[in-house]
Amino acid sequence: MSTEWKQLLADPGPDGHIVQLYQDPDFYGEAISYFAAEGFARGDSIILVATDENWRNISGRLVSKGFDVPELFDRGQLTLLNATETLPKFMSGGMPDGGIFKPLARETIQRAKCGGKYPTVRWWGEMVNVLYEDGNGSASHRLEEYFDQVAHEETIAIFCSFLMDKYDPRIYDDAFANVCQTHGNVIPTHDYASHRAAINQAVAEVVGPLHGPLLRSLMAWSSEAPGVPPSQAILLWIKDAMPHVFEDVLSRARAHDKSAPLAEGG
Amino acid sequence: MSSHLTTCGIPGIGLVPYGIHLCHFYPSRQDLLDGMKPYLLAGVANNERCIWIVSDPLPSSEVEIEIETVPELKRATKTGQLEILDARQWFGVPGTLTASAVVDRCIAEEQRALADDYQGLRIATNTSGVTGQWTRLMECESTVHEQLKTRRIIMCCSYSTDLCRAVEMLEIVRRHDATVERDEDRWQVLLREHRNAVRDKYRYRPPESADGATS
Repeated sequence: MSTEWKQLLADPGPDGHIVQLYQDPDFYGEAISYFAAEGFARGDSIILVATDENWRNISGRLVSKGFDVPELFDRGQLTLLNATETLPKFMSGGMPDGGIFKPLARETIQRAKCGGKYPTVRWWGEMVNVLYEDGNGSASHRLEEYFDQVAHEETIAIFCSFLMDKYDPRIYDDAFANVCQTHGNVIPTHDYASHRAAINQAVAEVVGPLHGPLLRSLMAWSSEAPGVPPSQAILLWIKDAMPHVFEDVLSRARAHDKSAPLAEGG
Repeated sequence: MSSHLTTCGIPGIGLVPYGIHLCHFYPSRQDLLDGMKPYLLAGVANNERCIWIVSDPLPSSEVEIEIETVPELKRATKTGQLEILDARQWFGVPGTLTASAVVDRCIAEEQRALADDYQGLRIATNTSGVTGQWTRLMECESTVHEQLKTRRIIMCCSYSTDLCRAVEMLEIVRRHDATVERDEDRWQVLLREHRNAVRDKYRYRPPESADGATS
């Protein structure tokens, strides 16, 4: 079932900041093109910051949804920036320079409004993911914070995509917590129903029924991670409350999740 | 002036404020009965109007038999202080559940209770008849949770542990103020912990509080 992520991307709110975790290029392309298409339909201006390869994925989907991409460029409703060319403009010593990045972002947003023709702007970008994939997690996190500030100041919705395996225990050391801290909503999967079923089955097998002290622990924890869907949030609770079984739960969940790609070598 | 607090009635749990929205996980029919009978008895004793919304494993025919064994509850059904409703009567036929309809109904029943000089309204709901409409039920719980905070209503929603697993349990507890559970023979109320800045590592931080990102 994809209703949940589609609802979020269709109407992200005036300064919503949403992130998608993906491994599958189809889900990646479908989510971004859906975010953009919904924006076009609402008369928004869309800024996309993509690598060349990923732009081909996105633009192909926009065309298949019936959009005339050159015409969108011509009328100023679509702005495309190259992620790998834009990044060096504001990187300094391996970290993004807010003094350069933020004015650059604001200027791009103002241009996208075309003098008031498009009062509302949506931004999707993958520069943070490029930094993350390059192994520069702290720069990625810092840039995300700058984006979040600009989004609030300019009242625009931002959507990000991270190439991140939600069943890999290593992401839960730092990267996933950083993602949660800089985004209001997390989309962990394209298929919420399969994810829910897989997590439930894995928890039942490894942890057993939740009652007594376990239920008490869950209740105490339940206010955490409010922007994370419950099937993903339950994993965070297990990591906090029962770290010794966390990897087993993840591994079983991966095996049960019919929508999940196999792990490397798996 | 009426008290802001009322007796919960469930063994071991004392006073609770009006506006509280409780959830109750029950593994068996007997657990459901052992929790809801004293809860409703307290409502009757506190001069509250009570509504018991029932479904399997304790349908109305069996509830009526149980009530016969408790004189206070039997009397309350005769006077109209306690009303037994099938889940379909309360939530509507399957597929028609809406949050606004349920909230409107709660408020109308509260107003009716106050107009009839009751102290407030007490609702016990067994959700097993509507867990098939899970998304709608959770929308309903979210809305009820927000809208009932300022009302003279106390509500306890019972969930069968056979019908909800870990993810569903998290969804339920997120939409209630406290959880009531019988652990072995001891009843306990589990409160949601208030936000704790030290441990909320997965919580979105609005930009103004983002450390190190203000240059």
